[in-house]
Amino acid sequence: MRDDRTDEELARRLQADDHQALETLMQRYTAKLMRYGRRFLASGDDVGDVVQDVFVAVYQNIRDFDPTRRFSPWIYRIAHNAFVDVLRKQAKGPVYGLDFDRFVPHPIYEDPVEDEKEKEEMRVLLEKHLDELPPSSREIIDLHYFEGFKYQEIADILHIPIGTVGIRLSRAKRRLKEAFREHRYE
Amino acid sequence: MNEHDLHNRIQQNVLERLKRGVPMRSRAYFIVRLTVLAITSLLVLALTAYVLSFIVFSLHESGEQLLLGFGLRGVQTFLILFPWLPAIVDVLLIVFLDWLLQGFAFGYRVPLLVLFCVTLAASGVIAAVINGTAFNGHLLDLADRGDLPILGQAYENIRGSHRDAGVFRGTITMIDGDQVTITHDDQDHDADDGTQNIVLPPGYATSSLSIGERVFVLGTPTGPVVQADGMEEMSPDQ
Repeated sequence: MRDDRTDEELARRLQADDHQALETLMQRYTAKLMRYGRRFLASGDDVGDVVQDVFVAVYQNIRDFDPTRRFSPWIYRIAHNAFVDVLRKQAKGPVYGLDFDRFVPHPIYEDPVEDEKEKEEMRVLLEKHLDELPPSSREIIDLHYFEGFKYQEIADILHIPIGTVGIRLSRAKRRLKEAFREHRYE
Repeated sequence: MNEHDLHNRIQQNVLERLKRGVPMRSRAYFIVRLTVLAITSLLVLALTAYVLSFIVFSLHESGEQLLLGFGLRGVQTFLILFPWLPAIVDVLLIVFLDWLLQGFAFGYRVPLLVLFCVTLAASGVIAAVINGTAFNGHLLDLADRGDLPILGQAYENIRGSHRDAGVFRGTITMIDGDQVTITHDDQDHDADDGTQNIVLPPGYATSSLSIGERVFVLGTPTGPVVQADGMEEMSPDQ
């Protein structure tokens, strides 16, 4: 039976130790987090285990969640930390090393005319050239174009300034388009 | 295993792990954690402000800030005598404070450079408040009496001798043409205690000097006298 309650209502129920609410949240987020993890890690092996850990962490920390705010950036923040930990353990080098984009202010420009057509183009490019992007670029472009988060929500997931989200996103888009052009002319 | 079965298995595994006894953390746990983070941040901010206040106090108390008015040599000497160790400690404390503040939304939402400047400015304001009180002066008195453990040496060093760098301090005891005699005794029995004859810089208005005034001198020892490049009156609290 379809549950029409919002994620935030379910989170509030879970805070009162209602395990049924967790089951519903898991049904809603398992596929999303698996997709997010696969794009982020570019390897399906560990993703299921990490998603399990994410749900356990959600259960453990649910009372830290403020139900007046959106639930999805909160759970993606937990997932982000979990996937970054995995990448670190895989010794693939620092996912987010010393990043000068975080040091200086950048103008905040969220393109208001970025229409669904452009988003669809980016999704197609991302599917084709995913492996050519570093994990940090893969993640930010995935959060925006596939998971549909706004800049401020991405900033809260990654714990970075909103201006840094804009600059990383535009850089990742440029890389994707360059990769597309290279393949087209090969 | 298809994707649907994989998802079901993940959810079942999670529920089984929870049944085995994974605890849900209480609201109090998160409040305590946030409170500890906030208190630690405030303590580090206070420590940062104190170290900054010490740097400003030591420059004022030693008179070394006056070097900045003595031209290029004065600036060079100022940089040589600057308390770099406390300054480096202070910068490291601010970096640590900024790292702690990343745990708050207001901390990660601003660029690190802005956060650094804001925390430095906040430290500066608190340091100014500290230096508006007798706090550092009191600690210096304790250090002079040998009653200040750990920090005592740092306060003792404020009044250390810098004759080698051409820095002299003292009270004018005699004015004779273009020369003045100064004496200095801060009871630490170091090299700058004693009497020194100073040849004033060319064109220096001796009419502005009077016996009993404390002065700060940058100069070059030449035989029995010091040829001054610059001389400034020190305030009574220095």
